[in-house]
Amino acid sequence: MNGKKLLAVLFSVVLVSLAVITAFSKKSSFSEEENRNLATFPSFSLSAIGDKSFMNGFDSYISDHFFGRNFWVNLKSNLELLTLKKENNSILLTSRDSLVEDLEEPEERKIGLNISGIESFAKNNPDAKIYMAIAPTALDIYSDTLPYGKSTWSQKAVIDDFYSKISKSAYGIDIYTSLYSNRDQYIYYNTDHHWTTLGAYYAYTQIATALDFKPYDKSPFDVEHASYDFKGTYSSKSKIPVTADTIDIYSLASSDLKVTEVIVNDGKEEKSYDSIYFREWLGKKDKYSVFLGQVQPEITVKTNVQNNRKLLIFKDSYAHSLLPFLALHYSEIKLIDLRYTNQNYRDLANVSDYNDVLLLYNIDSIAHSFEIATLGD
Amino acid sequence: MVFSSLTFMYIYLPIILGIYFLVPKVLRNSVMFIAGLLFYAWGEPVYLWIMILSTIIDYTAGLFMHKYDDKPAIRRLCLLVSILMNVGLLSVFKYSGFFVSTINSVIGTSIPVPNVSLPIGISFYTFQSMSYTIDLYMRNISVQKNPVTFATYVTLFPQIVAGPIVRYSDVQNEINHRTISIDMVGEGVAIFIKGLAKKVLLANNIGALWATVKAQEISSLPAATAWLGILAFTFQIYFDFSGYSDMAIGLGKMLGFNFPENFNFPYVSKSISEFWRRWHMTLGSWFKSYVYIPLGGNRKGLGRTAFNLFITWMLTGFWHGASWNFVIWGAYFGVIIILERLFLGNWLKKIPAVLQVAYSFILVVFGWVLFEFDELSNVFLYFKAMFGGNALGFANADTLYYLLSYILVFAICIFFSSDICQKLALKIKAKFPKVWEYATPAVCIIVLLICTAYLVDATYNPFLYFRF
Repeated sequence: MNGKKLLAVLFSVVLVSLAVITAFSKKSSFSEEENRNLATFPSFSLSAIGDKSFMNGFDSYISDHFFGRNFWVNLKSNLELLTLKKENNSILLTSRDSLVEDLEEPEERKIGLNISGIESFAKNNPDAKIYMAIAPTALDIYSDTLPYGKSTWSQKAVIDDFYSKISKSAYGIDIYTSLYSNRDQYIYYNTDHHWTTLGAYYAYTQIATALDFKPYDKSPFDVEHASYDFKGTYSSKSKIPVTADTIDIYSLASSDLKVTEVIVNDGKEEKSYDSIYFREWLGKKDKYSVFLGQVQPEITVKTNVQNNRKLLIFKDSYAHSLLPFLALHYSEIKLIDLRYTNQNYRDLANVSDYNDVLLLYNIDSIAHSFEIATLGD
Repeated sequence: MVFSSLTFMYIYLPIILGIYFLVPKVLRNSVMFIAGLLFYAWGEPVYLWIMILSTIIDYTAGLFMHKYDDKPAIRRLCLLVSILMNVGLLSVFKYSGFFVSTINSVIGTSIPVPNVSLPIGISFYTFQSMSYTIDLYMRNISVQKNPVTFATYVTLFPQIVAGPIVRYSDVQNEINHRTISIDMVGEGVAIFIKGLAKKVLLANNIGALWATVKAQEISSLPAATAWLGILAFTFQIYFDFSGYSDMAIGLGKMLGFNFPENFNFPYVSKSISEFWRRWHMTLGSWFKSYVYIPLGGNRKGLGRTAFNLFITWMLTGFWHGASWNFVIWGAYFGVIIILERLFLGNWLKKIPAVLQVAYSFILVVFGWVLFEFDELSNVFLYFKAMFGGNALGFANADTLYYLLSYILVFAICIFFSSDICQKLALKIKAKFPKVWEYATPAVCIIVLLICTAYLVDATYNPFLYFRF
């Protein structure tokens, strides 16, 4: 058989086998890798043909259910590394073999709205002791490891500026310095936009001092490696292959302090749990949700700490891995996520019931969204 | 339907090829005809009727021309009907918005601008269909009495959407009697995969850089970034379009057709005249045969030649899109070609080859600026950026980042767009024929699988010439 005939035969084999296997393989309805529902077969009708919804639906169906989809996607992202491109979908590959998101320049208008919201909140709650902690992302902490020629804006400068503008309303806690000085340690995930539990710990030490109690040392904590193959949002978005992350759960060894109840209000109903860890998520793709589960409007955490102190936190998901540390110091902590509720905060919490109010956000929430502004309503 | 898609490669193609090879010879054209309708309807379900209408009218015109072979008046009338109908379809569906808004701005009226959507491939199948009636009128071909055979020609799915522009005369024999052999299928597969790789691996990749640059304010670009951007586009459009032509030619071969070449390493040209003999060759030759030569070509003196060239090139530009920048793009090349004919060509022959290539390449790159921006104001802004008019210096940090990110892709693009790769291939083939013979299928299949991986992953898979 000469080369041409060989090619014709091989080509036919590849086409037919992939076509047949794709057609007859079992179709799943949900993709763990991509965290979304996979396309269903489109409905066939004259109008669906006329407006091309059948054709487009068919194309989506074939590509969503193409045999070995995940294999092909991984093959491509590995090949891409050969082309020396270090970016995909705004995610950069650093020289530390970690992924960071290339955040856009901060939006002044939204920062302004957030500042006004906090000022109004402070005016409306004159007796509240308000603190704010803004976390940088790995993009800034490791800005010296970005691909050659790539530069980014200073998150520290934005954080400092924000703190100075809200200084009459809230006390700005500097967690940047502690994180930066510990950057040689594993304080940010390589594949996800969150900080690791260790990173959250360092932030906790600064927050504790500001809130006027002594933070625990690192040594008495037991570190449980709850998962070794966490691949988070940056991996999903860019598909650039890097080593998976480890998720750690810190618990205070030989201590009687424990969480007694966790009440989750998802906007429709309240459910009660006995742990702040939702371990079923460790078996799924979104492993960070082991900390306090998926994001909800309102979560109330009750502990057996005997000081009758209560903390109210307005937050984004960065607070979830920091909560276990704060739970050692309060008898009750309420976490409210303004992004996931239409209700005014007054419907969810009575501010005067709480000793301290903490606004805990990462820089992306400050610079690119303005949910915090609703605090001013 | 797009060739570089999973639906086409793994659903449509195996089914159609399977049926095509299994049915008796006499049914092959019917299979192709239905396959063509299906292929076209997949992308353009509503305007399928326009293509069918064009086919019926040209087929009928051909029949009448044949029936009244001895009556020149009737033959001329049939030709006129065909041309008017095809040009009319183009005018309405492609150029009506352009005509109305131009009239509005020239004489100050406010006629509502029609917003007709452009049926896929209309610029290709109308030109192919017209080639039949014109060549029949000029007695270069014989009539096609079988309606299915004629319809098969018009709806041939390999080139209906994006060329090459295949004249009836090119496939006159094969449309009636063609041989298919496994060898030819193998040849076709190799060409198809070459085209697929050009599109999926090269065009889409370097195109991402152009997309990044184009997304920014033109006035914020330092000179080097503007150059990097338009160079990225220069390679993107070449690999996109020549890749698609290769896929069409490869598919044709699999089916027993020998379509004409459409690209011949245009970026190694030593003059603009040569460039247009290497770029989109079937379009250039269509306009030469059916516009330039009938206008008199170069047989009526220098002045008339210049005029003929200018008209032909303006129309060539205009074919590419319903907007003034395309007309100017065509005229731009027309003027350069006239100058090359007059004296520039002789000057060029005296300078070293590498400078001739540089001259042509740079002029082509400038041309792409005209081509890419519909608004002439943006054309000016982009040239301004390229020549440092933004006062942002030669380069900034971003420029370096883009260059480093894409330097390897640029190098690969330069290698595969020059004829060095072809010469190298021929050398290796001559020296190691057996190795070459069996390495080719292996490499092709590996490339096919890599392209499949990219298609499955596709986040960026536009096709540029679909405007036409």
